[in-house]
Amino acid sequence: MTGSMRLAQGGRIDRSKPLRFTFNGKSYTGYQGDTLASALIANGVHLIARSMKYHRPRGIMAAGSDDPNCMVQLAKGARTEPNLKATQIALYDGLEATSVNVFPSLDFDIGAVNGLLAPFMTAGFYYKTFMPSQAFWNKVAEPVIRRAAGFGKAPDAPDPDVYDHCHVHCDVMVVGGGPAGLAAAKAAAATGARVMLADEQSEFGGCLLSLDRTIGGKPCAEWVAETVAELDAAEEVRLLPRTTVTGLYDQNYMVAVEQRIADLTRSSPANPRMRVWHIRARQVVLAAGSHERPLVFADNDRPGTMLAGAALTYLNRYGALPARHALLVTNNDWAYETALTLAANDVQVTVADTRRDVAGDLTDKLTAAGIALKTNRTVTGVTGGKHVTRVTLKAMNDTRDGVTGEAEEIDVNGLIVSGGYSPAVHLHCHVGGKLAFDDERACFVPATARDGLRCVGGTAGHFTIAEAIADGLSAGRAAAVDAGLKSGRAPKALAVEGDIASGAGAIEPMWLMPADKAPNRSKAKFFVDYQNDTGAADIALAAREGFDSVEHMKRYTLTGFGTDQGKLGNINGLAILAQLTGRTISETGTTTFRPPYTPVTFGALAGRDVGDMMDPVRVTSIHDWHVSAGAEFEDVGQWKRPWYFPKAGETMHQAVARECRAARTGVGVLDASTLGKIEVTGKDAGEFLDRVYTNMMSSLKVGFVRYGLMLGEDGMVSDDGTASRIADNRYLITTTTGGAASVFQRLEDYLQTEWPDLDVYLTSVTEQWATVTVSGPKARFLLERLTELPLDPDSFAFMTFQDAQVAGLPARIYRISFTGELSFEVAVAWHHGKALWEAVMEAGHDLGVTPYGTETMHVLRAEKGFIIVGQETDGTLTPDDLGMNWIVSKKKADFVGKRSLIRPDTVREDRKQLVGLLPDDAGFVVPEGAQLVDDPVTLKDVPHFEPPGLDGAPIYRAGKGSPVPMLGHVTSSYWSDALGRSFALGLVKRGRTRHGETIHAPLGDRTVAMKIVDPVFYDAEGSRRDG
Amino acid sequence: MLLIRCPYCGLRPEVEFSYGGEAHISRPEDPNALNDEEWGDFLFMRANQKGAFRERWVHTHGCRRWFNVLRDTSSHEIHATYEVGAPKPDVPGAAKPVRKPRARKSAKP
Amino acid sequence: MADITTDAKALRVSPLEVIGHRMVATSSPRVTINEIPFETQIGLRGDASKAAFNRAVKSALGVAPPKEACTAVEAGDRRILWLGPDEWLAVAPDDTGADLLGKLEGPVAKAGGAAIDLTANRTVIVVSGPDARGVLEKGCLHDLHPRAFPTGRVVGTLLAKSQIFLEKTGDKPETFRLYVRASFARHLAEWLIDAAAEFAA
Repeated sequence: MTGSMRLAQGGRIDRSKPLRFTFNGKSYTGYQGDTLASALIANGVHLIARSMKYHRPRGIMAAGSDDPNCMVQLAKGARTEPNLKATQIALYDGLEATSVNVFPSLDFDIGAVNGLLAPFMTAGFYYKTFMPSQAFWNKVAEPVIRRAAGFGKAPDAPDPDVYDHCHVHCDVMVVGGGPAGLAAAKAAAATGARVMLADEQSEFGGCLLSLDRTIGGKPCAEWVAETVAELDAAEEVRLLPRTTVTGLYDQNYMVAVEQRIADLTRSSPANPRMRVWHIRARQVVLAAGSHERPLVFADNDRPGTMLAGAALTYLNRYGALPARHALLVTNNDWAYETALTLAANDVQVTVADTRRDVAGDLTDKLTAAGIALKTNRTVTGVTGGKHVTRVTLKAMNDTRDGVTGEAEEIDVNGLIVSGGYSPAVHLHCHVGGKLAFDDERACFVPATARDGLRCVGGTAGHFTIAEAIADGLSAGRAAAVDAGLKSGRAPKALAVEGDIASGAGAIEPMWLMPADKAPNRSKAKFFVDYQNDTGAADIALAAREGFDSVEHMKRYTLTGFGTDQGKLGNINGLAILAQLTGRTISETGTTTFRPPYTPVTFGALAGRDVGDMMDPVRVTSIHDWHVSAGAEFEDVGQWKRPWYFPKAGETMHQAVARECRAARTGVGVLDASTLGKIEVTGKDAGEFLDRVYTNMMSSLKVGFVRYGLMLGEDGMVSDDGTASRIADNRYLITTTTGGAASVFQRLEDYLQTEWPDLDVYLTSVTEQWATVTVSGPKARFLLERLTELPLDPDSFAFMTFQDAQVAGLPARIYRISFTGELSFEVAVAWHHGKALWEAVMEAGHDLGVTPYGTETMHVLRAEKGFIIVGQETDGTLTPDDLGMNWIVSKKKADFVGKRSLIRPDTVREDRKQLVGLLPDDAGFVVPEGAQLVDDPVTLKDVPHFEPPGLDGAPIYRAGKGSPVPMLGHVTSSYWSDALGRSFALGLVKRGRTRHGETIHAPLGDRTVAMKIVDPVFYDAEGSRRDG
Repeated sequence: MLLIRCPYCGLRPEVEFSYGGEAHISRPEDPNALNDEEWGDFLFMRANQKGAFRERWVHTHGCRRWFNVLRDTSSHEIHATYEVGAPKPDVPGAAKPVRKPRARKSAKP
Repeated sequence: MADITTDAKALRVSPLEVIGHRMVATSSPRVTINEIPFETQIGLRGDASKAAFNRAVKSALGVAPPKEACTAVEAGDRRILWLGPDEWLAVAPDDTGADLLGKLEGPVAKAGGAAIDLTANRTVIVVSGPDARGVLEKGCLHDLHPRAFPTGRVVGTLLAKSQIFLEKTGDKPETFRLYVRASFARHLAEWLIDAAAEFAA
C-alpha cells in the first residue's frame, strides 16, 4: 500500500506537531499522539517483522500490548532495546527503529527458507531432530538455531539509564483507566479515599478513546476529560498514566512499571526513565478490559490482517486508515461497529459472518451503509506475500465442519477479523483466582471471589460501555467502603448511548474455521500463536502424541510463551485442543497466568540498587584516613576493611611482609572497630553467658577479659570472641565482624524463648566504640606517650582492661592479643576513632608505627595457630576438631551444644582436624581451598569436568585413575616473613595423629607435597605477649 | 511480599522479619537425659507441614521480639500471630489439632 | 560515660561530617536533609509495669517511657522513643550526655533495668519538607501518609537496606528523624541525596 493513509482530520493526534522518525533506515513523518504502529499505518507500512520460526512476513494486528508480531529494535548503542512492540512505543522526534529477526533485510530474508521447510518443522521438530546427540546439540545445532530463531539484539554496553522504585499505599487501587476504571476511581474518590489509578497508555480513557458513545449526555471523550480532570484535582488521588500493573500478589500487593521518559531524553536520578511502583492497597478494582481474539483460518497472518477493535482504534484515535478495500470476517455483533465506521470513512467494506443468522437491526445498518453482508462463510485462503491482496471465502456445510459450494474471491488490501473478546483476567489469576467458561459470551470470566478484589467491565466479561460504567461506579464505591471510608451519597448513574447490545446470539464461537483441507494436510498455516509460529496443526500433533493436557500442549507447541504471553492466541489454542480431544473448554482449562503481565526491563527491576548503592557499604570512623593512606580494601560482610597499605611501588606481597615485620619487631596499628559488640546486663548476665559459651564466664573477675567459643546446638563452632566483665551485673562481649547480627539475634532467641526467667538485657553497641589495636614489641612504649596509666605487665596484666584517658580522650584499654605480640586494644567513642588513630600515628612516627590491614592480621594470627571462624571453620567443626578442647568446660552441666559433643558422629575418630602444613617447596604459597590427598596424582589423571560448553553445562572427561579419597583441604595459606617461608593451616582426617607425615595438594598443573605439623608456627611458648 | 502482624508493633512488611523455623520445639531442660536418637530428633527433625503450620519469626529490624505465627504454607495466609508463651490459637475450620504433639517427654507444652 | 573535656569535644567527628555539604546542596524548599550530630542517646531497658523503673526514668528525663507501641513522648528538649516492649531510646541535646547518664544509670539498674550510653552508636538525619515523604517512599515500605503515620509515631525498619528508627516529629512541614547506625550513616545519606535529586531546586 502506498501513499498517505492519514485521514485529513479526526483522531487524537496533534497535527500541528509533526515528528520525524526512521524505520529500517527509511524516513517517515507522524504526529504527536501517534504510536510507532499508528504512524507506520498512516504511512501505509504494514510489513514490520518476520516471525520467529518460519520468518513469515508479519504486520500490525492489534493496537496495544496484546500484539504478537510487530516487534522492533528501538534506538541504538547502549540504549538500544530489543523486542518492543510498535503498538506500545509512543512516537517521538528522531525515533529510530529496525525490524528484528531479519537477515539481511526485512524484505529479503534468508531465514524465510524455513517457511519452505515448514512441513518438516512441526512442534517438537528441533528436539526430535537434534537432541539425540548431546555434543551435536551443544556445539552445532543450538548456536545455529539460536541465531536463526532469536529475536532482537541485547545491548552490549551497560544500560546508561536511571530507574527507581517507589513504595506507596492506598485505599483503592484501580487497574485500568477505561470506562469501568474511570468510573470506579471517580466513585471511590468521592468518598475521600486514597485512590490510585494506573493505565498502560499515555492517555486515560481506554476504549473510549476509540469509540463513539455518549455518557451522561456528553460525547464520551468529553466525559473522559472531565473525569480525569476531576480525579487529578482530588487531593488523595494519584493518577499513573503509562503505567502497567505487571503483577498482583498476596494481600493486594502490586508491582507496576511507569514509563516516565518515552523518548531520547537523558535520564538521571532526578528524572528516572522508568519507575517501579510497589503498591499496597486495601482494595483493588480490576478494570483491565479485554483482548480481542483473531480467527483461525488458512494463512491468517498476512500483513494487512488486523483485529476489528484495533482497526477502529487506528481510525478513530489516530486518524490512520488501515485499508481502502476491506473484508471484515467475524463471528460476533461487536465487530460490526468497525465495518460501519470504515464505511463512514469511505472504505469499501464487505462483511463475512460465520454465523447463519445476524440480528435484523445490524443487517439494516449495513444495508444503509452500503456494506455487503455474506453469512455462514469461512475463509479458505489469503494471498499476498508481504501484504494481503485477496481473500477466498466459501460457505460452510450443514454440520459446519467443512466447506461447500464455489469459492468466492474478494480483492482487498485489508483483512479485518474478530473472534470475540477474552477478559483480561491475568491479575485475577496471579493471586490464584479461578475462571469459568461463559458459553453465552464465549469467554473465560472470573469465577471466584477474593476479599479486597473486584473485577469489573471487560475483565468481568461485560463488554458494553453501559455495563462497564455501571460496574465501575458500584465497585469503586463498595471498595472504598470496604477500605473503611464512609459511603456518603451513591454516585449518580450515567446513561450510555451507542452500544451494540450484547445479548444471546451476539457471538457464536468458531474456533477453527472450516477449510478445504484440515490444517495438518494443508500447505497453508492456520496460526494460533503468531509469535511462536504455532498453528492448529501443531496443536493437533501435540494432542496426537499425548500432550493433551493444556500445560503439556503449551510447552510442546510454545503456545502462550513469548513477549505477548499469548494474549491473542491462548484461548483459541485451548479451544482447538478441547475440540480435538472431545472435551469442553471448561474441562480443558487454561494454562497458569503468571506475572509479569508485560515484559519488564531489567534496569527497572534493579532500580537504584546499582553500583555503590547495591548494598550498604559500612565504614568505620577511621575510614577516610585509610583511604587517604592509599589502602586497598577488602569486603568483610558489608564492611570495607583495609586489606593492606601499599607504599608507592610495593606489591601486595611486599606490603604485607613489611606490615608483618613491623608488628613482630616494632609496632603495628589495626583498625579493629568492626568487631561486633554486645552489652550483657542484668543480675543473671554471668549465668546466661555460661549457657552460651563453652567455657565459664560467671567466674570472670571484674576488670578481666576471657576468650570464648560459641557453639550451635549441633555442637559445631559458630562464633568466637571475648567477654569482659565491666561490673558485677555487666559484661561486654565481642563477636566476629561477620557474625555480629546473627549472634545478637540468636542470643535474644535464647533469652526470649528458652530462658525468659533470666534477668538479662542485651544491647548492641558495635558502633558505640571505635577500636584501635596497637601491637608489637614497641606497643607499650608508644602508648605510654599517650596515657598516664602504667602499662607495665605488673600494673596491667594480660587479659585485663582498664579505663583511662588516651590522647585526651575517654578510653578503655584492653590487653588482649590476636598476633602473639604485646598488644593493647584501645576503645573510644565512635566519633573519637579518627582522633585516636591520628594521635597514635603521630606519637609513633619515630618508632616507625605501621598501619596494617586484614591480610597482615590473618598472617600473624595464623603463625600463632589462631583460628578465624568462617575461614578455618565451616559449620561442621567441633572444638575438638580444632584442637580447642582446652576451652570446653568440663564443670558445667550444660551449655548450648554440649550434648552434641558426645553424639556418635562428633566423637568419630576419623574426623577432620586442624593441622599446620609446610609445603616442601618453601617458596610456594598453596592456594586456599586446595584439596588434600594421600596419592600424589595430578588432576589430569583423575576424571574431571571441564569448563562449561555452549549450553553452560560442564563437560565430563574420563581420566586414567579412579577418584582419589579427599582427606581435607587448605583453609589458610600465606607467606610468613617471620618464618621466611610459606605455611598453611588445613583440615585433615585424623590430622593430629599424622604430624610429620606428608600429604599432597593436586593443583591441576602440579602436585605440591606438604608436611603435616602442629598448627602453632611461631613463639609456641608465648614468650612475646608481654613484650 | 507478605505483611506480618508483629504482636507488639502491628502489621509490618516481611523484610523487617527473619524466619525461625518450626515453633513449639523447646530446648530440652536436661539434654543429658536424652539418648542420641532423642537428641538427634530435637536437633534435626521438623514437620515441614503443608497447610496450617506454627512457626517462629523475629521482628529483626523492628522490636527484635521473637513470636509465633500460624501460617498456611501453601496459601501463605497468616491465620494468627501470638507471643511466645501465649496459648496456641486454633486453626480456623480445623476440627483436630494441627499436628500430633510429638512424643518427647522433655518438650515443654 | 566519663566526662568529656572540652578538648575531647572538639576532636569529635560525626559520621556524616564529610558529606554534610552535599546534603545541604541537595536540600531545597521542597525537602531538606540534615545531620544532627552528637545528640545524647541512652538505651533504656526495663519493665514498664514497675513503678520504680518509671520513676527512675521520669526523674531523669521529665517523662516516663511510653507504654504505647511505636510512639514517642517529648518533654522539653528530651524525648523517649518506644523501640520494643522493654526497650526505649532516650534522646537529649548534646550537652546533657554525662549528666543524664549519671542520673539514669544507678536508679534504673536498681529498678532491675539498664541504661546504656549509645550516643555514638547512631547519628540522626532529619528529612523535612513537603516532599520529605516522597524521598522516603523510594525505599521505605511503611505507609507514611499522615492518616497512617501521624506525628509521634516511631518504627524500627529498613531504609536503603539499613536498619533505622524512623520517627515522625512534625506535620507542617512533614518532618522525619532517621536514627541510623554510624557505620551505615554514609550509605544512607548517599541514598537520601540520590532520592532527593528529583525534588532539588
